[in-house]
Amino acid sequence: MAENSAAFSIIGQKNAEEEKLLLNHLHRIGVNPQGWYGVHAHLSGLQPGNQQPKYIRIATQAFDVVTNNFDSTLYLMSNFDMILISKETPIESIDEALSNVRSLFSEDPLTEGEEGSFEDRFTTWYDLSQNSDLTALDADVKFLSEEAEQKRVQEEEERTSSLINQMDGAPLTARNLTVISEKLQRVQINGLVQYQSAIVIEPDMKGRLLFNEHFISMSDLQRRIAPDTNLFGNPWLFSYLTELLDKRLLSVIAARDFSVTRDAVSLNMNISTVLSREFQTFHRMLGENAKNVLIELQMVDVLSDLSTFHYAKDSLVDNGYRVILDGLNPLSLQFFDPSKLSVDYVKIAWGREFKADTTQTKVSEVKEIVMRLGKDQVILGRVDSEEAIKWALSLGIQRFQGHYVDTIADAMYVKGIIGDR
Amino acid sequence: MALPAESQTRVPSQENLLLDYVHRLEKHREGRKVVHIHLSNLKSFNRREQHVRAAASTFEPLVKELLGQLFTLKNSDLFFVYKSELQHQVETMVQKIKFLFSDDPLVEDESEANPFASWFDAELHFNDIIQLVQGLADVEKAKAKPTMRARMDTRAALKAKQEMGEPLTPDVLGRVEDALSRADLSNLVRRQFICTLDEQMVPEPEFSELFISITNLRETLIPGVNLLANRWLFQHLTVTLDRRMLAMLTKTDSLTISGNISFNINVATILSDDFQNFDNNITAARRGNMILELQKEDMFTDLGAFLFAREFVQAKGYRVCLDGMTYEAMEMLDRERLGTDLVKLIWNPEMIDGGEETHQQVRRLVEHTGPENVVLCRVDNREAVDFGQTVGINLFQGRHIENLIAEDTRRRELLRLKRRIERSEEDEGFYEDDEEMIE
Repeated sequence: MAENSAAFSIIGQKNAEEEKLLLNHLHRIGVNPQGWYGVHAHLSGLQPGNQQPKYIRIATQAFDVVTNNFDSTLYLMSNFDMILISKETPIESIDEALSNVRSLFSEDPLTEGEEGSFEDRFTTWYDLSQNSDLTALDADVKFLSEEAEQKRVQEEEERTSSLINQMDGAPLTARNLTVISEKLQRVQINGLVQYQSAIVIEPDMKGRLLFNEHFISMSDLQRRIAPDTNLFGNPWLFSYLTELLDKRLLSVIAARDFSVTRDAVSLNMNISTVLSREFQTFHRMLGENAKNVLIELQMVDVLSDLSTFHYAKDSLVDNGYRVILDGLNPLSLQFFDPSKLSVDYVKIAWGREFKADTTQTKVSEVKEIVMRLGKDQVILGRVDSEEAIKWALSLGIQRFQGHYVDTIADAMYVKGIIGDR
Repeated sequence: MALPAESQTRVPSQENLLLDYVHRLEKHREGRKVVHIHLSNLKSFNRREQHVRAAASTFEPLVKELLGQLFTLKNSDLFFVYKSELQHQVETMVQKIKFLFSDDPLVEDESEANPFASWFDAELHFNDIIQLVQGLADVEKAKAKPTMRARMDTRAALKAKQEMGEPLTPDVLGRVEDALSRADLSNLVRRQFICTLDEQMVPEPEFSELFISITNLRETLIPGVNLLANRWLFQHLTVTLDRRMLAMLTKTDSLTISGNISFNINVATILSDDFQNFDNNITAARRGNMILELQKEDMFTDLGAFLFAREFVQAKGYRVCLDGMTYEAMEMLDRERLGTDLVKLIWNPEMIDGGEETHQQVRRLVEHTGPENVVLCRVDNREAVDFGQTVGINLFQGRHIENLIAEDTRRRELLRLKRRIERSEEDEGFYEDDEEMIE
């Protein structure tokens, strides 16, 4: 296929080239529409996390067999929708390609409806020999084309707008890591330390502070030490930076006068940091106040070396600290059971997966895990709406953190329920 | 990921293995006998390792013939379970051992209250045996000290520096990456076989893992640098190693690969152009012979990416192995839900030392995972294989397995040599006869 070969060479390009090519193709089909049909796969309906160019590029390969062997052309829309235009191509071969794409995204709610069923939100088929179908698809593509154009203009504006802080730039590499880690050791860190409150909502709907999580604002830090580098682009090198940050944060927190602060503080730490000399120093300065400090450990860190985790956790607990397992979300809970790690709290990030549009089985699985953990051990993090709190309260979860909680915590502070922080 | 530093070796403890064995003996106690040799009561100068080994080796012929099972306990006692028809032979052997220690008070002043050996009939004295063995296991468990874990204290860090070199820093990492992209790594590729073992401990390879030896890499490329010092930087380095491995596998002339193979890879690599190129360059049939090994922490760093990548490669015919598992991690992660074809469980003597409860736990986990899907890896002694087999594992990998393969090869070669000698002797005989005839 001539048109096919050049298609989607640049994934995620938003200049609506593919849309225009497709409209042309549809126009030509209109002259002699016999035998033509189209399939629209709505990949734009995937969860944002799944809408990644590299995934989409791999997904398009599922159609290679069809486009290489039959009179079929695949068009990739700017919003990642795929539209296949075919003539005299066996439906079974397209079914197979579609089913391969479905299974790639099998954890995504988009693919949950059964193929061809009423709930199927994944594909729409068009018999292009029918004038009504041809017109409908033509209108759809025109809409997508306009949408892509609008989006392009909008992004252009955003890029030029200095107000928007974007976490982009060159990826973190071993090369720039050297410079960045040196800067990190020297930068004034005090001003970059922020906090976010976690609260408990009691059965009578009264709130109480659980702790204030202190952390270094990464977006501020990036602006300060590496404005042209995306610190988050490489998970392993980013983790290396967090080890350096841990130690800086410890020195800031240790310098505080804990005797006047009654509120508990939580800190996100690498396990290696907990076992380091810097942490010993921190502990000496803290003394009795360790009981007011919670240490948050990341699930990936824990998983990568369970025996060191146990060692670190036991020594924390023996010294009076409480331990939180952080970095869980509804998806990871489906594959990982944290209830055997015996930590004080497990922090689960609120996500769309918890919302009503997912299947009942997944929600009940999460319920089961909450029950197993004990509802008093669960902290729901990243809470961004009242809806999240209501949902969680219905499961018995009473501990919350997130942007939405910040407003509640502020109100508590004003009323004097929470002391100085 | 290349195999990290070799796991530490420990004095084998067989108490729990013995306990397990005796439990299983319950069903087959008919016609079995047991002798318990109290070497623990010898004077300490008679109880050195070489003495105990010499004593134990007496039973070797019977063990080799699978006519009995020997356990050497931590306190030096020997426990031999055998078929009753061998009573006479075993008595002779015990007599032999006794002779080894004839100058020891245990033998000189042997009494009914303080015997050199105690004899049991499994059928008649089963309860006595089980009580005795349980007691021995309990004592050992109580004595077991908590193992020292890796701690980054100053002393440990200094020791690591002396032994392994300066820790890897971002600066050095950059140089290492550059060096790696240029160097020919094919001579650093190592191969280890994953095997089933038959009753004679003869290994039968199922597939082999190709990996880049980190120790050799360090020695040849960047002497004096400890690549493993920082976990995150090392993890990052493995992505570069992935790419080099894929390149080598694509160029078949740089690596001769036969049979089913496995190799380590990061999720990010699977989703990269390097993997696309690799995949485009191998035949569809070859994919079915390849197993991609993924680390659990890599999977969970971006679970969505893992699920996508797994689906992608499995649809193409590759198999996927969940690598780096401990039995505790197996309790928390479900292979079936993660959708991997295989699981690699790292051998750790703690699994034996944990006692009957841990054995049951591991057995249950293996059963749940599907015994045909579990590989016990880093097997560096016989004890590991014995344990693996008692919990239902059939696939093994590690130094001990490599030794068994070498042994088997040697045995075959000897056999061939022997045949050749026999043949040539026959031929020579022929010639001699011929010559006589000519004369």
